[in-house]
Amino acid sequence: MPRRANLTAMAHFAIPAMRDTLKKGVSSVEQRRRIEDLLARLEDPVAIPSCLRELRAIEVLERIDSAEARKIVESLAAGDEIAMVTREARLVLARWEPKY
Amino acid sequence: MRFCRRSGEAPACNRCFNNGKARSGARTSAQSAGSIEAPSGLPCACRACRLGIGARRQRHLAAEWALQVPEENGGVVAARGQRFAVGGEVQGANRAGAANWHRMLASWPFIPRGKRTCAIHETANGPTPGPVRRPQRDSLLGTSPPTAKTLATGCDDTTVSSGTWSAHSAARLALPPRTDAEADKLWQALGNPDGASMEPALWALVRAPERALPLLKQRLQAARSPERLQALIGQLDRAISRSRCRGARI
Repeated sequence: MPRRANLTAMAHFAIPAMRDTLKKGVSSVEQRRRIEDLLARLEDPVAIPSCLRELRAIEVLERIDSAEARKIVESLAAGDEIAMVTREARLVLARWEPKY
Repeated sequence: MRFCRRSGEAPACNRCFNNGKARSGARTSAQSAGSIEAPSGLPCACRACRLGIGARRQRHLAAEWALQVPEENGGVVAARGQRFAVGGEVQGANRAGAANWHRMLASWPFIPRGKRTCAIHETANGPTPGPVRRPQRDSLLGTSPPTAKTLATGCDDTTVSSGTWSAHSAARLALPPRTDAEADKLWQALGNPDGASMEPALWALVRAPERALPLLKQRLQAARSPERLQALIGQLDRAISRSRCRGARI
């Protein structure tokens, strides 16, 4: 089970990587079953409190909307694109851009 | 059928229906961010409205929104990338559901021109943080991006309005943290799957940026793809293979 726990902790990256693995082909039926089982669990956001916490923390930064908050969001936006946190930070930056 | 007050053509948008004047304050109780034409909808025929809608469509695209206006009393689909929300009539009431990371979603009972309040749901799990004034009499459904900052509503005149949703008063009255320990508790509360319980913690942090910012700077790290991810996926079948081998030997 430690491998499952590790993959759950890396949910941001694990979901697309596991989908890729399924597409490319798996080495055994057992691996396919486990990957599908993990994917079903990880795709439910409530299953990963750390993800919820991070997304809400980014919302806190968005609502504070100060120079320091912007710096933190910019640093998060520089992360790996696969991660939900990175994508959310980029969306916040886009919303901060004056559009009107 | 509604007719444009300017050109006499149908269908008219709400602006024309209201004699060319947008109903200020009626759109949403929160700050309004403008309205947009739905991609598949029929715009108002008059030139002024077409131009206006065109300008708003630009904003719509800039905000990465794609919304499809519902059929009257029917469902609505709001999509934003791969995230989407759907709504429809279920047991005599307009119910809404969302998938993926739309954090908030608005819905209201199917009582045309009745109550002017709608419920805001945390879409991850369903609790209702609080009611909000219904933006327009003809609105059918609203949804928002994951941060719940924007609320969009579809109307039967093919326009979609968006506005900024602010938390209900109970959440805004949350006491800001006075110590780092209190701020840490609020950080833990942010992971609460119950959206209604979490909301005061979020607003308490927003109200104390001097404590929230150092905390968030420390806790939030830019995501880096772990190198050993593929190795872990590859190992998913090994553990069970080893146990089978052991079983075969016995």
